[in-house]
Amino acid sequence: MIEITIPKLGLTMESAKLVRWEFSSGDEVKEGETLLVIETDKVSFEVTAPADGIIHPIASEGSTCEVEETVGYLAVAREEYEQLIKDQPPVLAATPPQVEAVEPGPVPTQPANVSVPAQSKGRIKASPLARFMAAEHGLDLSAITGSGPNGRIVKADILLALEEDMVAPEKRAARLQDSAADSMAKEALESIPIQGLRRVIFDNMYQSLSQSAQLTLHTEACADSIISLRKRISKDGKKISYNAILMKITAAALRLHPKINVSVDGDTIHVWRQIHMGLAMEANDALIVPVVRNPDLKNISEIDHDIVDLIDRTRENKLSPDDLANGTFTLSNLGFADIDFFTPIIRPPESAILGVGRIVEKAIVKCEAVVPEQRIGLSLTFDHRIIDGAPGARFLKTVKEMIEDPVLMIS
Amino acid sequence: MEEGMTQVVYDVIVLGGGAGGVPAAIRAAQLGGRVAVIEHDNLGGLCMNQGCVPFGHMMVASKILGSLSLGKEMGLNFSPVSKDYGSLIKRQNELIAFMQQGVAGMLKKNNVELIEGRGKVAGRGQIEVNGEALQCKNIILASGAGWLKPNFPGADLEGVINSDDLLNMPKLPEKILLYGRSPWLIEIAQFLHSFDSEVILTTEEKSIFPDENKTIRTRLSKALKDQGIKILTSTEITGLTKKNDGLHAALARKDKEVRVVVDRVIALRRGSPLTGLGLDTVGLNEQGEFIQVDERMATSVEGIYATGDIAGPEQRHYSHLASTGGIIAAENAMGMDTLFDHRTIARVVFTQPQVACVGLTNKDAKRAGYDVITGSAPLSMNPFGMLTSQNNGMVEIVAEKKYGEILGIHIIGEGACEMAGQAVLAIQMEATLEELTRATFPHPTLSESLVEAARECLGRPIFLP
Repeated sequence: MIEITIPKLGLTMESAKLVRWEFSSGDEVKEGETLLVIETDKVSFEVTAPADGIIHPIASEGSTCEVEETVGYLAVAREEYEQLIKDQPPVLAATPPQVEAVEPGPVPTQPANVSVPAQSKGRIKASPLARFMAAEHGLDLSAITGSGPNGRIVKADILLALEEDMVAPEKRAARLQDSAADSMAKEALESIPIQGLRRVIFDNMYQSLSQSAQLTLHTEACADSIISLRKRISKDGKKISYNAILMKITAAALRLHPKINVSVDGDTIHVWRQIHMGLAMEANDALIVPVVRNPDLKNISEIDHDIVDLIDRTRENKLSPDDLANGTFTLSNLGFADIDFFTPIIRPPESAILGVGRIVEKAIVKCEAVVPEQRIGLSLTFDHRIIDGAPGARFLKTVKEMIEDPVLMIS
Repeated sequence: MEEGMTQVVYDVIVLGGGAGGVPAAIRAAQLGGRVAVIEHDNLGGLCMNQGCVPFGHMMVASKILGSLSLGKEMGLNFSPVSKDYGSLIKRQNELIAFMQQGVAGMLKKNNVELIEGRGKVAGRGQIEVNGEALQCKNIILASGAGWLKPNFPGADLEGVINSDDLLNMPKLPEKILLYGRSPWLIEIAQFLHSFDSEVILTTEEKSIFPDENKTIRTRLSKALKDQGIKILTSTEITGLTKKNDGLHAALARKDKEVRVVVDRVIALRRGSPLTGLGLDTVGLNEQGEFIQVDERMATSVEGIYATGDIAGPEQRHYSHLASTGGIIAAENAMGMDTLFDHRTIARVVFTQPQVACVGLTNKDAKRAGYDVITGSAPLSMNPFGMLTSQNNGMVEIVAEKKYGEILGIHIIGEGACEMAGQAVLAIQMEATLEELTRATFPHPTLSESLVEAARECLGRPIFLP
């Protein structure tokens, strides 16, 4: 028998929310299959099976678990599993089940003593139609008393609940709005709670803009050099990403402008010795910014390797909180979406972020002639409280010059 | 009161030992009640003695004869076919006698007291039978309906008969005019036709089975006409006279007059003679053709319930309705609180093809304000339907658009009445279309078309062209 515990994903991690189990008690799992998904305030992470076996969860979905806490067991054989379920109370499937499922066991996050006839025998009995209607109207089946055989919730009960809902004074106003003319109707197609990662992003973005004075400068650089650089260093069909090149260039520029690589800490400005550069990416509908360590000390291939590894682990929900911690500067590239310029938002406590646009061929005047040239857009946002416009502009100019002539990195 | 004279007080006395009364009595006894059933005639009521059972038996015979043509298609020949009505009736009566014994046994097993005699209400909590007054806490009226005189001139002539009279005839009449709107007439017409009688089925309505979906009506009419049964709709009997060569009927059909000469006229018109049951002693209305009951099968008088033909109009005279109503009445009489689910009473005819309709028709659903979607799957596209030449068969589903609530299922074809049970479950359990589409029905069966019709409702049929 193997205990399934909450892994410690980083030095700072103390607890995690158990988002969901991918298996039910009694299911056979193979080594390496994802057993459960946990979420810290920074990342979600898939915990995999350490061996083949029969899973028996004991912690319920939605509960918060300490690091190293046992949340379930993996039995080696069926007999061991049978013994397990005798010793350990069966649990969970906390999400309101589509099918008539087992009632969640006693867990701290659940209110105690709900006495509802429809639930009294351990599960919510409801007709498929009643379930569908309840879901459509956002009604909680466990709060509805069933009038069908053995307290089964049927359509009539849902209609009654909706009627009561309408009569409730606090809801009447909202309903009146609903009954306005169809052409005026504005109905939520979906209502998504702001929680988990979305809550973190939500709070961080607001905190960033409300607690610093952000200024964005735009410029454009000739991209011919980095295009040929990329061709030179990409080999065996494996292409080095522009992000790796741009990260190397930005890190080199930061070395020349250390006062951009800073943070405000109360009444003090810390100028960081190390450069740790975050790369904004999208994963599971959420913004996530894993960090590449010391890009100034690594060559472009090494940076590219780090980036590829971070992307892979982001996709597989395998990032640890440490992968996201201690950034000093951020790179955000929206070129894939044909964006030229934008106003990126700083990630506190960092003080600057470089937005990168697409590489696109434009008409440029050179030697009194209009010639085609590959151009790349650059947008630098910085905290104007501690970085003045001129030094900010000088840093961006250095980045531009290094993009146009990467040799400058070693000057 | 003198010692030793303490009178028994029944929890429930049921008037009538038929399709409604027997289940009512057994259910009340199951719930711990002291129960008596009063019946003056054979146990089993109209259903077992003069209705579903004997005519069901005839429809089985009719089906066998009907399937001879399918056999012929397959190279199976049974000629010459001989039909001995006497043997058929003999088997029928033996079966009925066997079933009657079964009913008596069931009552006995459940300690239900059977009292032979004509009972009537003699005030609240009191029943009078064989000159004796019985005390009871609850009464369930389940004494059925009776024959009403058909409403056409000449209806009291000797050759005008009902289904009871037909059962008593040793030999089937050769030429028969069937008149009325009861679906039962369609079954009788088909049986007589299959036993080589010449039948004319007439109705004042625009169609046979007039309240059902058009698909069902037209397909049934076509099937019957193809078999050689003459159907006259929108037709009235305006005169009937008896002459030496038979009954001369004058039929008015859309301004035209048709004259036919037949041996018998079969007319079915049933209602409940409410007088004579002592209803006035408790203040129940004796006017009208049936007793009004609510969803608990309760009448307006406390402690008095009613079920079956006595408690509904003729188009709702179905044994299955009577039985379920009886159980509901008994439960409520015994202190439970249960309601009758009216959505799922199947309207059935055991003709060939069979017809079974459960729930709302298209029209009713629209009238009730539903946003209606429909879907259908012809049995001629169903593999088993093809094997059995179900050319007229069809499953049609009426549903509500938003949630996919199944409102009605209408089936014509072989096995329709069996399939109706699936329809009843789907509607009663409040299955949605989506769920029905996810049900894996065995192959090859006609019932697969039920799933396909649900898919068609949702615009994604798999096996339809």
